[in-house]
Amino acid sequence: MDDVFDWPGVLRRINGNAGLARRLLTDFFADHLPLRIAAGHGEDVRRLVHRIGGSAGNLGLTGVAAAARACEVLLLSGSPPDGAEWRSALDRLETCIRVARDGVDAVLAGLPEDSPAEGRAGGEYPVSPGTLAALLADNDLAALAAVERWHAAASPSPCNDDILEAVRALDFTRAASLLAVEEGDND
Amino acid sequence: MTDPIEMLIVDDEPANIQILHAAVGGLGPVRFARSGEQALKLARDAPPDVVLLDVVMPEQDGFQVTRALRSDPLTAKVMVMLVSATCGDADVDRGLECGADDFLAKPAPPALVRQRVRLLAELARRRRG
Repeated sequence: MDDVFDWPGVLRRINGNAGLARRLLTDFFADHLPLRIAAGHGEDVRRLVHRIGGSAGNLGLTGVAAAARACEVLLLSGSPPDGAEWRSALDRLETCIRVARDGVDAVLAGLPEDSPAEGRAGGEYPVSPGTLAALLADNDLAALAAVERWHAAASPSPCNDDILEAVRALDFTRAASLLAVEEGDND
Repeated sequence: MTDPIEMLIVDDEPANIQILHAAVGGLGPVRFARSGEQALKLARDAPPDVVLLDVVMPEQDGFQVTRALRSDPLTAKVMVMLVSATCGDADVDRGLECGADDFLAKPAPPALVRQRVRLLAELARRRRG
């Protein structure tokens, strides 16, 4: 299994935070569809396969990482993107992604659906909207832990859920805008 | 008790930022940027001790960002660690020529990332006098 998905390895890299691992892996498979590679051109494709390789390596998707790197090496060597060699490498990457996805699904299926809050730093003190806004404005990653506590204490609302999702996706600009709207509505 | 290390992680891929953050978050405050342009702005606004900088990014790559950091008096002394999935001799040579202080292949064991950041921060403090 480790040659497809190194689950212990990815857990080690993120301090055993299974909830974060689930989310990053889910995002990976949502983002990196082989169709995007097939539809791309030139330098964009090289960047995309490089990005897939780097992320896959970090996320313990060892087979995907190796297949993506093989694609990148091929492109760097000047292999034509419509040639048989490229097509074969891309097929291999697609297969690896599919196999990895099955492996990941099997592991994630064994985890509890709702993970506890992902934040760890900073203890259990309440987080005010002002504090959260300041962290977002500074692009401070302490916002990742802060937003979990803020969300847990805030009144349930679709907007608050969107703020949580935007922060988790590191889209702090959107999160800050949503937070400003939410706080304006609450005034 | 060691002083907190101020860090800036630069990567266009959010997952990579979060994984590096998990490794170094306990060492001090961490900001992030998802582009070279944003990284340069954040570094000028408040120079960190260490920048962990992805190499392959759209628009400005890590080499260009390193050069820009070195050419600005406000950020010239910031320690730069390039982080890349592609870590061949040519990449390392180019990174060091651009003024990077270190080069790390990803994925990297968290303990190694932390140790390299600690060492770079110590060098940064000596460099600043």
